[in-house]
Amino acid sequence: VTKPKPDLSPLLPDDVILKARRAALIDSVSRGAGRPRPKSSWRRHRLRLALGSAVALAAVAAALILSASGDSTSKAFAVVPREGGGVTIKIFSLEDPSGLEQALEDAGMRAQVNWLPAGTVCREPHYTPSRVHIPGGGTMGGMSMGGPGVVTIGVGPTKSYRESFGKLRRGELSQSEIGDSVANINLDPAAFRPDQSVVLTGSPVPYNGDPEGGSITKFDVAKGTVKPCEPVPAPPGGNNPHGFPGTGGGPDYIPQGDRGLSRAAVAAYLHHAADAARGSDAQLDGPPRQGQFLYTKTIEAHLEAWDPDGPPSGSTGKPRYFTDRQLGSETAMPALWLVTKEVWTARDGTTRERETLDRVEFLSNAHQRRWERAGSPPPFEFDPAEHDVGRDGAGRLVKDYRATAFRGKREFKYLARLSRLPTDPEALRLAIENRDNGGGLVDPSPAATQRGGATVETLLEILREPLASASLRAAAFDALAEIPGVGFERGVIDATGRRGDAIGWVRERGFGRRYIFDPRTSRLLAQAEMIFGPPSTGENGVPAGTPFRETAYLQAGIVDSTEEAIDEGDDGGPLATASSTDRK
Amino acid sequence: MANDLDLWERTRSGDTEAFGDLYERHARSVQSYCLWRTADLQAAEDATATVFLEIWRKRQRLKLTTDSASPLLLGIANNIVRRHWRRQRRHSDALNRIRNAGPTPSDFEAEAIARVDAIQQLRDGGEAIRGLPRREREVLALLAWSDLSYAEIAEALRLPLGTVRSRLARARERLGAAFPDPPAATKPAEDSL
Repeated sequence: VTKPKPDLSPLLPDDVILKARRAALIDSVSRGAGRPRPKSSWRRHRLRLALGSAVALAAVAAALILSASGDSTSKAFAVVPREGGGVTIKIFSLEDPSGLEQALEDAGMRAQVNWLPAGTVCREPHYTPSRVHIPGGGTMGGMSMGGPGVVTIGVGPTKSYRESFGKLRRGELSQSEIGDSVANINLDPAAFRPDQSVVLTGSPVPYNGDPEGGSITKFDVAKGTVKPCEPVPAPPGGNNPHGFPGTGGGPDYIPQGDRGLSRAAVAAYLHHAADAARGSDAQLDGPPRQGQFLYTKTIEAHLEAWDPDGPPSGSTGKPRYFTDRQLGSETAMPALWLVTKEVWTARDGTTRERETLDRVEFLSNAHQRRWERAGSPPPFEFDPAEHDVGRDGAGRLVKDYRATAFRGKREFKYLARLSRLPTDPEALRLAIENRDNGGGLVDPSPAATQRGGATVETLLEILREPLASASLRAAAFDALAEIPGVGFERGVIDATGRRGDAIGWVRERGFGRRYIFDPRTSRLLAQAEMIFGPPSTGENGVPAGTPFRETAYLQAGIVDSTEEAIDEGDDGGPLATASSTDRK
Repeated sequence: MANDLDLWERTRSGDTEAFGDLYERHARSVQSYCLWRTADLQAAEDATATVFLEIWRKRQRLKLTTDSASPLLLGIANNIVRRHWRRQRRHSDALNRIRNAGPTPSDFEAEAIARVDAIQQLRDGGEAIRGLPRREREVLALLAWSDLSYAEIAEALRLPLGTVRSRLARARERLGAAFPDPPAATKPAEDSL
């Protein structure tokens, strides 16, 4: 056949994206991609998840990361005329917000540009998001952009932009010939209604090892008045690492708990936990000093399936590794594998991490026996053929490596912000919601709403920090007690067999999240991503209530060396956060 | 401009900039090939990034035996497309970072339609080849969807040249009129069947 080959150019990266991916690739291999993946502390793990969900919501609240790298003498942006009318603004950084506002204004585009200090957000309410109808079809609203690299915004008629884009796509002109005529975002002033405008809000974020090496910016279309941006601290420990309004709650958020408990009963249990927190003295009194380390010990459970009858993998045709991709297949045998993870974090954010494969527990006894008869092959993460794995005295598989905490050098500076949060329950809630209480009372939003769900999640994240003070933890439980509709359940068991009370919710497709705490000590025992119900139960071939990933918190304390741990039975020290009900 | 052999030697000694140059030079052709094989943009982008993460990981063991890095890269791409889930898992963190790098195209309808059209054409255009048995499919895919010569295809798949020729002949028999025209301009004369 001599059918002409289709034009693949719409599916291939353009020069801007290619350069950005090159930089990300180099960054990845420089960090040691391909070596045993240093699975990080629970704090980092959660942040990644949060980032993932933020990206999924990109259509609404979009973000663009600009590299702040480059010559410090260069201007923050440049304006170049565009073929066919209008201009292209090349933005290197947002550090000259008023200049950029003026440039957009000159080009015919009303805009507010904000450059905020790291860890701050604009006080809400700020503006009402909207969408613009583009001439010739389509709409545009908040946009998702990633970095590093220069971001270009075109301002001018859509028609000329489309013509340029068409020439590029058909290969009539190359990217270099077409220059800046095809911008990343094209704004047509004629498409904006008189009450619509553009809001760009950015602040520095960690990039390439530099805590403020990059930046993240929200591009949005606003309707009506845009208030001046008043920077207020972003909620620490929040589920969004960049401090933008939380991604919790929303229409798919359904509190998961015991429906037989009245709202008053749930509130009473949570106030009781607050009392326990107030009376407790088992706190870390601060971050590690020079030469000391924060030591944490957790057990992580992973739901994966072993599938020796699945299609063979690799040139050797070996049975499949444990994998979470095959959970639903006919021949897959679901199991939880448990790993003991110890992390020593130095003041400068460097870590030593040790992971020990504890045990593999199949959901069915028959599967367990079959796996044992096959010689108990380890999960992929502990396969000696793939990773640098040793054995401890008891013959268990161990990985031991050095890494860096998520926030690098700033690990403990960030946590210090916890100490500045109010310890009055209502003031705490308003602070993490970025709301000014203005002297009056503002009722808490129900847990099943966008704001209420985000608040529940942020309060639980605060409770998870070993450096949170007793009074802050008490305030967090009291604030939770006041939120209507929190999903609450008693007598739930964590991955290590400890029993506690749980707060949970379903997010989508039967997947959800659960935090378990000990009501007597108020200590958080575990947090888990859960399979609560259909359709996930069916798709993964597991019963409702199976954890998909669970982290059980055993110990946290300050130690003097990376060889030192906290004794299993040592419950009394002022440092230990594990409850005495630990079961091995 | 440095040639691929120089860039590869520097990459092997840990020079990330040389590695970046190789990426910029070959990423589009690797992605084109993966697009043809998978007819899925996300899978092709992830497979492309995985190819480069894999050659970096194995850089000490991999030798470049041709002037161009294409056969090496496409040979790895071939393996990754065949069992892509496993390697992607190994690199999942890095893949997320690479996937989210760079501005994503704006949501203009025209661009979205162009992408959907291109995917549809890939699906239709590759149907015959994707229906072949694996051994023949892999040889023919490289012939039709990359710029490799027969010798380079042999190199990419670690097969003797004669085997490449015989598999192509069998594929031609099976496909008849649907056998794609090789991109003749790039083939040295000695390589014609």
